[in-house]
Amino acid sequence: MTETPALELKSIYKFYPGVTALEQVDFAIRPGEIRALVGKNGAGKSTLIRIACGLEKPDQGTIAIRGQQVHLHNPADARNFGIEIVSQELNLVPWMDVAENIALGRWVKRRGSIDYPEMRRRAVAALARLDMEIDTTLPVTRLSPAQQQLVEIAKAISREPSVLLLDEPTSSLPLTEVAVLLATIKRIASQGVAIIYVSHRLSEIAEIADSVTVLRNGKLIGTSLLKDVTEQDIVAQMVGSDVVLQEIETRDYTAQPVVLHVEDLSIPPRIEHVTFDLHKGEVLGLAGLLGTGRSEILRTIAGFNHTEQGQITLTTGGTHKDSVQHMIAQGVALVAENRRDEGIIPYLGIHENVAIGRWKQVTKRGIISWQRVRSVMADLIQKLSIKTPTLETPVMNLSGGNQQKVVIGRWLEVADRVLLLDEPTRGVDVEAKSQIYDIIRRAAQRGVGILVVTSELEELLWCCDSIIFLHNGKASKKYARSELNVDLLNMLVNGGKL
Amino acid sequence: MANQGTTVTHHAASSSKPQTGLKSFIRRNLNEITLLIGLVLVGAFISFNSSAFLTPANLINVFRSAAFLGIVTWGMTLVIIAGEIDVSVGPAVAFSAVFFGWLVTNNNVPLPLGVVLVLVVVTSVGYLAGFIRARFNVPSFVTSLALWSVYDGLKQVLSNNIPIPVESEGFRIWGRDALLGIPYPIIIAGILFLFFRYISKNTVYGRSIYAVGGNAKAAFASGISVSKIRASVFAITGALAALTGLLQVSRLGSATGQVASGLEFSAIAAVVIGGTSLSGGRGSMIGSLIGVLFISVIGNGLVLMGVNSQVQNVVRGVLILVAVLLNVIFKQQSKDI
Repeated sequence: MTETPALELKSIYKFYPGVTALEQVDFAIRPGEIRALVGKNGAGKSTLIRIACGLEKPDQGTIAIRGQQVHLHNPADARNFGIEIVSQELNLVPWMDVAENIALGRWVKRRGSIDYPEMRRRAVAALARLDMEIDTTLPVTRLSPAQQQLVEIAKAISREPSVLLLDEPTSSLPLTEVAVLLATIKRIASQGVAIIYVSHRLSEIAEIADSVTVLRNGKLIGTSLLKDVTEQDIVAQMVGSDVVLQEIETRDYTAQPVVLHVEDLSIPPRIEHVTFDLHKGEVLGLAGLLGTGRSEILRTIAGFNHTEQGQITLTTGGTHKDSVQHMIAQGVALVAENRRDEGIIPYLGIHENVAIGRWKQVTKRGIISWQRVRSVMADLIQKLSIKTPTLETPVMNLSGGNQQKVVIGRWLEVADRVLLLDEPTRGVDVEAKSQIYDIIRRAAQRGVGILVVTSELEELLWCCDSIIFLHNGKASKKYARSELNVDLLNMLVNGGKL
Repeated sequence: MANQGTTVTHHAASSSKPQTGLKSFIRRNLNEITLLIGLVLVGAFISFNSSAFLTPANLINVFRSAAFLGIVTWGMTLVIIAGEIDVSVGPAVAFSAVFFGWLVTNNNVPLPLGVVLVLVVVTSVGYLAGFIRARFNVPSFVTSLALWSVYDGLKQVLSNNIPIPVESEGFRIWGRDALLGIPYPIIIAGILFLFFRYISKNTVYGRSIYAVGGNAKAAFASGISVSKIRASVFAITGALAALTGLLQVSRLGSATGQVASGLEFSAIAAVVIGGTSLSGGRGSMIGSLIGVLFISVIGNGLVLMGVNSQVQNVVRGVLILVAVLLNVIFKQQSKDI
């Protein structure tokens, strides 16, 4: 391969005070190549990407675009050299329409005023390249998350980039839309655009990438062609030790009493007549495609939503009410899907973020004993293996995985009856994932009934005892984990039957 | 993922060095320390230009005006930490003063009852404004702006813009007299400062305010009654505005609607100068204390240096802007340390 790389980073070093974020990292990508960039949180992926798109400058090393050495002072520079990034968070203006969002910052003007027809034509053309038809007059807030993500990509594409950086583009998309997105990415690459694809989802990488670069602790572990490595190899390279996701032990929960009984629950328009039992010590997975109402079931049980129809009973004592406060008092708590939105309180310390669920333990008549907070939380934080310099560190300074452990930790022991987990491992690296499964299993061992919702199907096999599938608003029967494998999961989640 | 870089920084920077000692003290309180240095510099500049500044009598004056600004500012700090804003406090103080005079002098209500009535009414109205914000999701800027206008009108209705004398020697002690040389308003503001500092740091209620301001949805999901917290902080500014109004009457011996004009502006400025984020979730009482002193020193200095009173407002505005700007810049810097 003597072809000139579309983008080449040579011997990149990046230091932050007290830490080397990147150490002698080389990275080169050909036009038309799809390169997966993987590593645990904190491995240096984001820093590398930020350097590639001009958000940060390397302390040492050079950047070359199509063989020519360049200096990227800011994102506008990078853009001028044909480097576009689609980041994890959407950067769209919700109330502007699709066409204007695509044109944002590069409005088409004619005689000093904005040329709306031309702007619309270009937007349609950009969307067509993605094989997409969206009404360009709709405000983007009316689009689904996947459509918004695609609009974001269309916006990047419309600038004719030679390198496109995609930072976890699928982390908030349902499976069906992931497929559309992946197909789109392949198409763009076939037009000669070099694509750098960051994701935690190895199955996606296996599907689209030509090659994979693994970073660990700021160092380049290696770049290999995808056909030469297995998923296990990649995981091993990422964590630096052999596979961490071991099979879980099978446990019989059926002898335990039922702790939660859901009878004939309907949540219009998504859920119809759902009935199931959750035993003490059982980890029950609720599987279903996005939008099937999985989260709604959890939220209704946790008291966030009004129970329209049906009966939710705490069979071992306690009552169900449509009140979050009440349900927490009954030992029923939810770790919500979106950790930034409904989970963490960014500026407060880790100890407070955990304590907020259990002030009673550390207060007397509303007055906090910080000493007790520290001793109780230090213990818990160790149990959860949360990596942090101090207890008081604002939770926003932690990696995603550690933030998630904080939010789960908030409810451990507080939720002594039922713990509801909505996407507990989203955007979390492999190591943190296995730690979270471990936390879940241990809580179940103590006798907590646990309901888990997840979009990553394999995950169900790694942490659940039993699984119920939701399809078209209906719930399947309960399957034991031992009866299932990944292929069966895929079939059942799409409405198939055993 | 976006700030993974900084995440790494924090881990390593602090795991190698535990956060103790002078260095970490400075780092944690960088904002307050820079403010204090700024305050000292401004003070030095004024005393260089006016020998009257550093006299005991003048300093007591500065602290007294700081006290009248401070009492309301402590409440404003909580409101802003909760992610809200209350622009009604200036007219609320003026209304409280006039309402009190109207009750006690025009309607012969017994003085202690008058005090209680003013406190209860203005606190309740504050709570109501907060309740409307919480229950109907009306931005608090709008509810408190409406309240601003209502109070401003009411005070004129009750007083016809004429000061109402309140002649009770016993009552006048609180605003006029001193204990061991320290005027009562300073003592009261000081005690309230310690009280609210304690509330904000060491009570579940105080921490819940931070939680609601930092992420209301997460606070709700954690079982915090978000609407109660929101309503309550406005009740607090109401109560403190009422108290300030009463102290003003006590100090002047008459109730006039002229007091506290522009107080809402100064209080918000003091909070912001003190480093509390207008978007909520972050901030400290101690910062607000320094902010209050800053504004009072500037006000006093401008008078002492004989700056024309129209120009004073301009200079004050510019200085506040500079202080906030420096504050923001320092904050960005300290993030990178």
